[in-house]
Amino acid sequence: TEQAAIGKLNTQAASNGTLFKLVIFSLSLGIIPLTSYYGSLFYLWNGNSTLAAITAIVAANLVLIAYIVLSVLEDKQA
Amino acid sequence: MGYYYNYGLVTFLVIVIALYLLFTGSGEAFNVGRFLEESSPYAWAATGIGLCIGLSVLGAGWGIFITGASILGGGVRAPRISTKNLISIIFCEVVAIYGVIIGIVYSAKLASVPDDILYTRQNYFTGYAMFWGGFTVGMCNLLCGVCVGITGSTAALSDAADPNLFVKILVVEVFGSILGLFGLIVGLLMTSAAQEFKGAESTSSPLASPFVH
Repeated sequence: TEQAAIGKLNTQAASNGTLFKLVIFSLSLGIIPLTSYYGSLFYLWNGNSTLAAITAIVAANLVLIAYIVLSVLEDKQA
Repeated sequence: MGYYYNYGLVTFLVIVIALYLLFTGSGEAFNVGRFLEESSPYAWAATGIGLCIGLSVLGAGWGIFITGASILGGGVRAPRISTKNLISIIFCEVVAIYGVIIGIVYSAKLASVPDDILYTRQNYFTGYAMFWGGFTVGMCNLLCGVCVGITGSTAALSDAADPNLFVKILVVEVFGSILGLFGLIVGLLMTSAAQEFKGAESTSSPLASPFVH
């Protein structure tokens, strides 16, 4: 039946860690830009906050691209 | 016609008060320049930061609930869409991260300055630049979040019908998410010349405005 198929897909999703991957990426989407902002502010750009903000934006976009690539690869596998 | 009826009372009161002020010789009480000069730059800057993060989160949340509802609804009949379409949710959340980063950059410029040496030209500029920069970033992120949300919702439903369409609609979502980036670039440009709040060098030189006392 349809409901049995959905139940099976849910256990499959839980066992291959899709939700876990989403949680990890959401947390890193918050943590990585902020740490790169503060890190680059003091150690790379000597206090120029505009360049540090641009670094943080690039970091956020890299996390986003990594998530998209991993999702598409995982989808190709399944 | 009945919907706009109530606006007539407010308009009438405003016109009567304005004409009263004008005809009794105190028409100069309505003074925009005085309001701008005597309001504190802190009020402008803090309001800008609040608008920035508030409107960004509003846009991101709006996008996520639109997309989430469609993913959940479409997942009833086509359970395979529920994992790949989380990409749309991440796109919406990136918009909120843009707002947070600009909020952090702007709030680094807030510094504590005593009242009698606060009203200098640079501080006025910083206050206004942060208000309008924050508002710009907030509005751009709001509309970007709504755009990505509606596109993501349609992506989920069309993916449920035909799996080949998802990658093509992802291109549209990428274009939509660049809009938030544009707002962020303009917001950073606007405050690149704004220094943090600093007291006036010496109190003997007159402050920028005679309205401050």
